[in-house]
Amino acid sequence: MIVAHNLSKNYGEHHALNNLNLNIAPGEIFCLLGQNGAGKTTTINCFLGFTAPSAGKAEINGIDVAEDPQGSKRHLAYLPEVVMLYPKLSGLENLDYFSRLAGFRYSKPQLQEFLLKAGLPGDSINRYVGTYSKGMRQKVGIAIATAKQAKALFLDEPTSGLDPKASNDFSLLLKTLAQEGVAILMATHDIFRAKDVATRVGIMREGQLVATHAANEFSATELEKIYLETV
Amino acid sequence: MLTQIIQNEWRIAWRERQLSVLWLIIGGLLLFATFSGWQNFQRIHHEREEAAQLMRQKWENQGDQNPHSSAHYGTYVYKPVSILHFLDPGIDKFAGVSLRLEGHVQHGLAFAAASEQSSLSRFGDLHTGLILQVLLPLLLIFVAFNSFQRERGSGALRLMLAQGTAPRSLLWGKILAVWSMALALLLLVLLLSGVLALSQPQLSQGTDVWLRLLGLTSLYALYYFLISAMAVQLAAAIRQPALSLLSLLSIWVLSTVILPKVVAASAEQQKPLLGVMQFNEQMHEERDKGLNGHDPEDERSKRFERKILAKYGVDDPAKLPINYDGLLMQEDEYYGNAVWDKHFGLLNRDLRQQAQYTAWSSFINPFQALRNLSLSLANADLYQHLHFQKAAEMYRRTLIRTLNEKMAYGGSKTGDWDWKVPEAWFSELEDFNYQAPAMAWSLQQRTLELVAIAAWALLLILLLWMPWWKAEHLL
Repeated sequence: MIVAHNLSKNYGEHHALNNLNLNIAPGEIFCLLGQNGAGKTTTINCFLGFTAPSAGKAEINGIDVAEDPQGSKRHLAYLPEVVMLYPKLSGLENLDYFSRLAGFRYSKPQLQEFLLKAGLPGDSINRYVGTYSKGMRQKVGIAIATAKQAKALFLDEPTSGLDPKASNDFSLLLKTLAQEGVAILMATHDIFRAKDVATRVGIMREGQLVATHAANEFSATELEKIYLETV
Repeated sequence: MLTQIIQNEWRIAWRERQLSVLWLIIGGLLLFATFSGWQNFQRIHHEREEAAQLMRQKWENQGDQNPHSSAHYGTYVYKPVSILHFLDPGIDKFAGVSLRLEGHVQHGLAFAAASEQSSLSRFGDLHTGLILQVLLPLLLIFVAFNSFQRERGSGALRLMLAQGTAPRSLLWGKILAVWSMALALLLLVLLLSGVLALSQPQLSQGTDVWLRLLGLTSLYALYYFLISAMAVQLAAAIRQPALSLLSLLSIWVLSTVILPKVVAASAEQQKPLLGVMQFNEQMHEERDKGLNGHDPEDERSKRFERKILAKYGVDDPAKLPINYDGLLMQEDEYYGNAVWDKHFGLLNRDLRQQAQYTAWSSFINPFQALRNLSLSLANADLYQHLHFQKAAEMYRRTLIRTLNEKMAYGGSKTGDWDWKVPEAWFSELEDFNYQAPAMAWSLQQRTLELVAIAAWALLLILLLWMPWWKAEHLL
């Protein structure tokens, strides 16, 4: 579902992404670990069509992103690190707006259901998003992703700044989506969350995917050790 | 998708307090300026009507009078104020509104209110045109800037693009949103203007006023499209918020304040005009070289006398069946008219060249095109002013010729300066009835500006179709 073939991105002499090969199947959660500047966000940007690759190609559901950026977007959803959304719109209005941009029109009860399913408290659905915590905004972001019925989900540091409870809720949501057949690529610094939620973990260093492991091969502590040795 | 983006921009503009307050302030100012402009228009209209009626009354009640004395007595004509004065008052304040008409002398327009004020007064009057031309575009710039920076900062822009919004659709949506907000205020002004104009049906008769109002609305609508397209594209292209805002504000200051001043000064330098005193001196100097209707010993007068005597086959003006003095006066007028035609022709040529110079600057500054076209459509620009001046001079010539011919052929004899015409005859002379030019004429004078503003619109649309509008360039 999410495939990278020798994907590279250079900024002059700097190799932000170097010959990345990746294949994430439906129902799989692939966590990309790495230090700042390791190439995690560049990888996501290449899949979203926000960065044109210097070489190789990124595919979503068999569609080359560079060739058909709009077509590939029909199959993906994205949750950025900062999900401020529109602070002067309610959670429901934000969801409605972003769903319409993606070509989906839902009734009010359907929208409410997406938000409730994402874990947003019922009494906050019609409040302005400006009054939400980051965790609540992430839940609206997840509702936007699920409402799009996307087959591929990209998440960029989605749990940074979340409290442990919100972070745990978020992991459960991701697992539910994966069970529904969504392929998920998540860039994160959070090794323990990655171990908890991922089916596979990749470690990036200086634009290269230097190691890939099944998440259930190790404990969180062992994964941390491997990570520190690798980066 | 475009509809969604437009609706969302409207919703946010309404809900964000700072923006909605700014919209309300500009909307309130527009309504206030339009209404007070209308009251001002009515006052000026009545003042000029009353003055014109008073002068006509004085003309008709001048008593039994020698026609040539009446020519010296003269009259005044007043430039009728355009009904669209309340939207754009134009150059009356600087160019004068009344003209004294008499024999032998051609006067310039007088009573320019601004002549007693400093040059700063040109920016001092709050009128609808000023708000529409200067303040509303500034608000549009803020809205466009805020729209992009808000979404960049909040991550909403990334999310929108990831949802499948095409970059070009995003730009078009924002342009149309900003534009439609401006159109809403414009519509408000148009409606109020229509209601006010309809409240004075005697002043808004005929289609020209309505065509001009429609023309003004279309002009401003086009200009707001330019501003919206320019501001959105710049806000999209420049990612650093401070630099983006600085660039947009710099363009606004440059186009509305600095460039028009520089171009006007440059036009004046390219084609300097004579001062009023110098101009009058030159006119009088040349006028003195002509016939002198009051000096029969003048050589030219003698030549003319010989010609007339030969025509009638007599050897003394006293033997003529007509009043030779009337013919001599009219001959003097013909010479004076030629002098006027020459000097005013040169002045008009220089003024038109200056106007053309500023018109060409519309290709680098669309604000100049807007300013000139707005004045023109409001029937309050230089060309209309010159049109009035020419019409008044033509009326003066007809009036003085009629008086001189009455003197010559009305039954008096040469030297009979005490001969008088009954008062009723003066009432029969047609009053000055100025017909302002139609809109088509006004627009013909502004072809360059029309082409320039259309070229700007085309250019900004073409820029939107350029291949550089990709997601990676917007983020």
